[in-house]
Amino acid sequence: MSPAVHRSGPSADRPATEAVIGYDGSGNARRKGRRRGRGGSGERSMVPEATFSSYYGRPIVKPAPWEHDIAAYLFSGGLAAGSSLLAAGADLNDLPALRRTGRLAALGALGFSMAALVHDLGKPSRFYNMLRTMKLTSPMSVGTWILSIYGPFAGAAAASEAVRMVTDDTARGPLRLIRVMGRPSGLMAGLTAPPVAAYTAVLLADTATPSWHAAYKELPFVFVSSALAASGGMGMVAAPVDQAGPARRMAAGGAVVELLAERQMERSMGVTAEPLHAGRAGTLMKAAKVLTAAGAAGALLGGRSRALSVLSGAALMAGSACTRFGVFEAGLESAKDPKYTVVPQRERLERGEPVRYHH
Amino acid sequence: MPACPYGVIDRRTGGEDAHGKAVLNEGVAQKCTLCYDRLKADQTPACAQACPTESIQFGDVEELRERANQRVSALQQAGIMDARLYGNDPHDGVGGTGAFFLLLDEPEVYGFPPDPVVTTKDLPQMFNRATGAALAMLAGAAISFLGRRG
Repeated sequence: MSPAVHRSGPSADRPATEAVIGYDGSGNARRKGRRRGRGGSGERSMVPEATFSSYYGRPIVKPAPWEHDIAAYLFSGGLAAGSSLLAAGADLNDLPALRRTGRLAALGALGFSMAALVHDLGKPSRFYNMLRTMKLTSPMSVGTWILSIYGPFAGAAAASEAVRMVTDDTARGPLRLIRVMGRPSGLMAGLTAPPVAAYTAVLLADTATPSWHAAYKELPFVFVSSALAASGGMGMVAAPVDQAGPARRMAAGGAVVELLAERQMERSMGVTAEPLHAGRAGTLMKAAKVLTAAGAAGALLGGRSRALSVLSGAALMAGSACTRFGVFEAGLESAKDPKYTVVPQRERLERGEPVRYHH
Repeated sequence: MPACPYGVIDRRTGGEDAHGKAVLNEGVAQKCTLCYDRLKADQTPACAQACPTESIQFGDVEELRERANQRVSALQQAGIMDARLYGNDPHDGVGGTGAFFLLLDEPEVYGFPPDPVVTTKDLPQMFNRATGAALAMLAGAAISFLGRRG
């Protein structure tokens, strides 16, 4: 439990099983409420607790057993997806240098993603085992399929780019085939890329981890805009300035939407937004905001300068990475403190709105 | 594991069992099977049989509910007004559980979530939001290519 999350109440002197969370309740009020409830309808007996209790402060839900490779994958998956979109757009708009940058970056980020996922799973064969079933209610299963559809297209587009770098129009045979497959593969990679960036939000949100689940409405938008900011930034770093106009617009647009979506997300999360401001997650989220805003400003104002372009692009990529690691960390912290599990649920009960679910 | 609203499911840790043998299925998350093998031999789960106070009871869930309701009424008549059942509502946020508890205080005092929700309940909405975000990403990328190239 990090002390910062208890700003609304006493932290150090918190009694073992009960903590005041900012309501004006007392033990008497509790008991009275309960007695009244039982006399009336059955539903009312579940009403208001003025305090939040726990079993000696022990966590209720378990934090995900994920290491930082998953947080890194959230970033690299988004970077791959955005880079494929950048490359597809560049291909259609006759910007060969930007296209090359996008395709090669997409493959690099995809390779990193696969390595991170295989590391998380423990051994490569488990990735193939994931493909032996298709479970629509499992974001992990759906994500494996999304990656497996997107991956070959991104790979073929990058292969075509590599062959183009060492051959010319006169190439024959397989090399010729790889060259001409570049456009269809690249366009398919672009079309199948957005789900790669979006599904990771569901991967986090579809858990009982308080600060992930509570963010499910906005998190996909935060993640895709963060992906656009990162890959636009990548284009600004690696492509020549005279072809990087679309990358700058993608970077700036993604950054602005990311900042707005993140703000909206925190507003709708209630008490579970607290871990985004505490400890390491808080530092990361703060860094993300500064880097993203600075990078966006650089993209809009200094994009014609090579040095400023590289600097702003790098800031945007770093900002996106900080957002992913920050959201990741905040979720793990929220699972370790029973407050974030109990308080939102208590508030629901207090409003007389227990969740009902019929299979 | 992170999807369990009760924080019950865990990975099996390594080490040795009581007979000094390395544990099976280390690192794997498994659920209680209610001692499936014992049930096949007309026995009750080991935890229920071993419980010295018979606090753990096994049986037909409808019959258990009936018995539990009677017990709660008896306790409340005896003045233990905080007695209540937890997890016995088949239409709660997780759509009902096969196991429920008789508690003497709020669930969270026992380390239970007071209003648990199965995470997949919101999955259709999550899917819709993610689809919307993916389409927005595609549109955003397309818009980036309107305007000057350099």
